[in-house]
Amino acid sequence: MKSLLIVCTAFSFLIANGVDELNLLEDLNLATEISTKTKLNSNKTPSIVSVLRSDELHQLGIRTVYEALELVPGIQTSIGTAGAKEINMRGNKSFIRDKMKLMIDGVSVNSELIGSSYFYLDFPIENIDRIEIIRGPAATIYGSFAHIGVINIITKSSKKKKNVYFMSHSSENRSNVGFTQKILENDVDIAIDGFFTNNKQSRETGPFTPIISQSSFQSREDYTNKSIGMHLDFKNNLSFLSRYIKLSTQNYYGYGDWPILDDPQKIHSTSLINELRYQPKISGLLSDIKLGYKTYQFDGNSRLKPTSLSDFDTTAATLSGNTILAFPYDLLGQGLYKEDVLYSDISFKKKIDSHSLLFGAYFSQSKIKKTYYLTNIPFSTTLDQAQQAVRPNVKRDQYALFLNDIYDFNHQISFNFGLRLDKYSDVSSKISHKLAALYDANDKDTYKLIYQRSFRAPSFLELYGGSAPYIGDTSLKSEIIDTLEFSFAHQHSLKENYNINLFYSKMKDYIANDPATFRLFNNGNIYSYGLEVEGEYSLNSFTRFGANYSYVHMKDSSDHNAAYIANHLGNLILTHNLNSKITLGSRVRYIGEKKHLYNDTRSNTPDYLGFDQTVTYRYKNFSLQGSVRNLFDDERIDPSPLGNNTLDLTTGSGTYENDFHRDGRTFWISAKWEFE
Amino acid sequence: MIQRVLTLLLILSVSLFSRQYDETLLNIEAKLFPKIAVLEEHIKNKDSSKLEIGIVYESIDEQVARSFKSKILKNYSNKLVGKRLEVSLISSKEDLDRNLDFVIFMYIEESRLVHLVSWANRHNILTFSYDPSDLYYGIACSIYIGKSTKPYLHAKVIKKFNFTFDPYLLRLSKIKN
Repeated sequence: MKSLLIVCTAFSFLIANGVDELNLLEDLNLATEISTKTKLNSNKTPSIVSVLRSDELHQLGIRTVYEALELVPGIQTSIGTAGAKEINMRGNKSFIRDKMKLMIDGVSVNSELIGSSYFYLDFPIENIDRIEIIRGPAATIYGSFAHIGVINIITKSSKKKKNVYFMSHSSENRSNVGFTQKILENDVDIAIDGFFTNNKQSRETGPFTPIISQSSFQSREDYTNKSIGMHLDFKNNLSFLSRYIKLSTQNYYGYGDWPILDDPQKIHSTSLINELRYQPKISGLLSDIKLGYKTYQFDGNSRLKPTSLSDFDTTAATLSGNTILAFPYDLLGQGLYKEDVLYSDISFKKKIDSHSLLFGAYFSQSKIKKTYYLTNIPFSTTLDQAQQAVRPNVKRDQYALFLNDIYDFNHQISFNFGLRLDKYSDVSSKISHKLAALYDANDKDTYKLIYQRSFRAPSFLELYGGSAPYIGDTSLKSEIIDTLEFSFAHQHSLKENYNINLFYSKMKDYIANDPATFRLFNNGNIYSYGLEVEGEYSLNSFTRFGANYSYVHMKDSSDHNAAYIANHLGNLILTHNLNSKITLGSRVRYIGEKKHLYNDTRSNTPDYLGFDQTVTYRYKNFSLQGSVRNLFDDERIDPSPLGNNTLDLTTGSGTYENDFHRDGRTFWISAKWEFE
Repeated sequence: MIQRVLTLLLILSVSLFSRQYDETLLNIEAKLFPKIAVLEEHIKNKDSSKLEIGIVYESIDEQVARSFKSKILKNYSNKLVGKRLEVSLISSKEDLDRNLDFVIFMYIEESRLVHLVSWANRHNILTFSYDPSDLYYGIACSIYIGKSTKPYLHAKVIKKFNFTFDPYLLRLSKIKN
């Protein structure tokens, strides 16, 4: 090293100048910014981040964001009420709402109603550049909804580099078609993308207690999802993003987890996001100013309870002097909810000596613009009974201030300090904070110790829900989660790296639902701890292998183990090119047994071991793909909730005895044309 | 069931597996490698109107190598410090040309990489690698992706084969001993 320095010094007098003409320092700063933005250097930053890249996902035959997320250690997927797709991160998932922030190109799509974002989980991989996933609380940087994690989908249209056209079809009657297209370049860069998904599917479900007159039902799972998005980049660091999505879905296992009969209804989730962004550089400060407007609408019809089944509530009918009518006069629901959100976000980045500072402010105003809910009350043929599903005319103002500092103590040790104060007009103010230390032992080994606190303000439904099955409480406290994480990363080369994470979390004032009264209440604490291990190893310069495993243990204050989650998850991944035209992608997915509720006597759902194989043929810019999922047709089953198995029209609930069965062996074919 | 899956995995694991290239890193390297190269004295002072660059690839990565070449040419509109850029794609089975100013190695089979790097060093051709860990094989330069992105220089190779860089570059670089 010393000899090299002597050589350097000597040459410093000999070599002519002219270096600045190359703007090398500017290029390196830009490269650092890009590496940070794309998470290329995530091993060297104080957070636990995974990045899934579109090309790699495509080789594995992954079709949507929902499928891709299962590749991340600690993440499991399931379906919820009326088929809503659910993401469970490190065992955490709410009874009724998402607790993670889902962003498209940095714009949050979560609703204020229940924090939901499931309508974007069908987003096709072909339209995506990459997916960034932060496991663990991240509210100090990402704010609202980033309670247990953040998912950021970066689209190809935001990059404006590639055009893509694609279509796919499965043996289970699901079809996708979509595109990304650059429209204009030069003075204004414009790119649009869109997709349409059509799923036509139904499956038989087992007996339902307490209905005994019919031994099986159909889970009706048709849905369509359509979306279009647009990115405009003007000169002078000004950009505009707009995106619309509408998901229309049948009721699957029933909106209230009661089976439905032969008249499936449709529920629609519609989201529109618009954001104007200006990123000027003012006196060495990198500024980021965002102004956004979002709307979310949830509407449609549902068949709540099958009162027309002959053995249903005859006593109630007799007492009320009514006659039980034949199908379709079940207990029906029809409703509409619409919210608007206006927000602004301004942040600044500045490097002062060894400090990399980020600070700023956020303001939003959310309003319930319209809401109504009608039922027929049993035995009536018309929907004329108005109920209050959510209180109307609710308004929420939110103000926040945040500061994040990454301090490089020396070239090996960095500290991260983050603080965010959120003030809400309808719930108490809260502070999120983060303390982290990063030790860059050498080029290859990095150690991280991270402590974070995030809070989740109760959603509109949790505060203002007005009727069964969700009756809100305006005195609900925010959920608070404290997480301590330790991470070790070894990056031997770009082809070979290993990570191990250990975490412990305590969630205070967990919001739960009382099954007897349907009231939402703060239900004490939930504790979880776990381990995540992942690695990529190349046997030689041609041979590549990826694997991950995660374990989570979760229990509540009463020492009951958490229901509906698998303690063990794993993935084995192999992708290989037979030649320059043919690629094989193989994947094994393991999901451990899942428990039912602690008072449910049914045995755990069986573990799942699925094998997926994909073959891709490429010719110039065109690729054809065939794949088979779950080749050995292993049973994949999600646990169903335990009802009180009574027929009461107000408080009665039931149980799908054989749980929720999901897709078996499925074949896919797809075609993609991608060009610059 | 488990046996069936393991059998399939074993069958697949004897095949040749693909290497994955990171598009972002390729973009960064396409921008930085030529600039680092022209900060080397011999290249800078060479009396030639062109800068001859070689990209060495395995046949399976030909598309990536082509794309990398276009990125380099697009970045500099074919010219850098008054020199016209000429980028050749070189299969790892071929020998290197003595006229090359610098050569960039994609993922190359180990024994072939050692041979080609050794030959390039002996003939004072500056070497770069896509993967910074390949500096281990005697390559002189790469890019270090850490908290900051930096040129990554191999001190022993630079000293042994008399490459001389502008001190400004050395101040900005991470040095591997």
